Amino acid sequence: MRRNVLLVDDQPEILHSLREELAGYKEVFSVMTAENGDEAIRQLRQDDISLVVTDLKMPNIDGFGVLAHVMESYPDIPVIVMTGYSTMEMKRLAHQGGAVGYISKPFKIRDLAKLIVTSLRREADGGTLHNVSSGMFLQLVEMEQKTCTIRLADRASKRRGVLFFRDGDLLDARTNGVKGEEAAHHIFSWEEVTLSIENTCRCREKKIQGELQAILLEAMRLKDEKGKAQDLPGETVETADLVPGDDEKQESENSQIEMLNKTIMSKVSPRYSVDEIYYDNVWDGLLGQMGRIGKSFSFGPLRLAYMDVGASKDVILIPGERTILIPVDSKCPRDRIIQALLEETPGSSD
Amino acid sequence: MSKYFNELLNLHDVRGLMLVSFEGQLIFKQFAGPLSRDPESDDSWALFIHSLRGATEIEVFYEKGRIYIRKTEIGYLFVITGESAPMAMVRLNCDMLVPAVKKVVKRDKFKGLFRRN
Repeated sequence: MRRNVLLVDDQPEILHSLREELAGYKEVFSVMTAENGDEAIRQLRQDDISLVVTDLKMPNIDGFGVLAHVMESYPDIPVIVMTGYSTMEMKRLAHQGGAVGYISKPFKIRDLAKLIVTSLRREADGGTLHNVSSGMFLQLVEMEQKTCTIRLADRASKRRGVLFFRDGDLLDARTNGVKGEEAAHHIFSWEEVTLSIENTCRCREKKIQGELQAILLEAMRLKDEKGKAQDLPGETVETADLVPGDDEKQESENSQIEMLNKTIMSKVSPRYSVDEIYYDNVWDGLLGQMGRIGKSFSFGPLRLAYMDVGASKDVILIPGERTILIPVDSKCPRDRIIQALLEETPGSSD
Repeated sequence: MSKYFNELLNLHDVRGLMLVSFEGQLIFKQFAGPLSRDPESDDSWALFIHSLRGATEIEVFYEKGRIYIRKTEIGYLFVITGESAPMAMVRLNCDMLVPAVKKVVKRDKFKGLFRRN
């Protein structure tokens, strides 16, 4: 099942850029955006959000406010904090506030993606079960005195819910805006659920006072009494898954470099102006080897190579009569630059 | 070993992978379909690995496919993909798999020993 990740930042250009860059991970999660804390809170209420990534410095409700709201109202939703003004104190406060991740700007997009994917995978680190009765399974959780967060999806109504257990004690429940014991009654009445177990519980306060057995019985009674008419208007579970003469040659080479620079600036961002593109035949041997390997896989001619050489800058190599080298910042939007260059540099003949 | 790489191999348009030691010896390979040429028959892997000059991550784009290469503790991992493979996901999976490659290779070697006995 594909999850929704909510990005919160008051700078629209940052949101836009993050959204584009994170589109590369669409098989795992989709990106939603909010330009301030208020909008984030509204979206949390309306949409099915699995994780929040928030900036810290924002007007009105700042990142700490968003974090506190999520911890209070949606403790099952992990929060990752990002900031351009990182200090040890801020990092400490973010973790103390319940954030599962902290990342300082500027960051590599894949570092953020790794944090997101790792946090989302944690949702089911204790396993996933399909077509089980919620009541029976939850009695086992109590018996084994487990500490966990259980996310459930009811097969019949398509509703979703979450239960928080600490040492087998049911602390809280949430489903479709309903909290506490009332939410537990709804959840326990679900007969066939898919549930995933996260082996941690971020909920600290006990909001359900009754015994699990009593809550289960009450849920059954309510179900019998009201029948299926009591069903809440629910959100549905998203099932979509988860070169001439010397002068002419020089001129042609200069214009090629200028063209590549323009391509990067116009198709990627003016911020990524590359003023250091040059010809470098040191890499000719490697490109020759790459071309040979490509042929053995029937991949046709080599178009481009991107390399992290362990230096402060990565390099992009474009084969040709002379190899073009483009040094780029390792935090650059790699996929967008590569795409732009592939579109601009026609494949050479084999 | 193939189980360890399952998630990576199951990504859309990922056609196979190879683990090649720093000395150019093929440690592991798995491909989704037949190849026009067996990579094992290629004796110039050592030269290629040497030409990489210790680079930690390389993405090679061809007209009809891509090769993503990651340095590991014991050699280079080559992920062979088509043009529509989700590269960001390939990188991310490698980020998660690469740190344990040495351990998995070691473990599988021992498994082999036990089977023989």
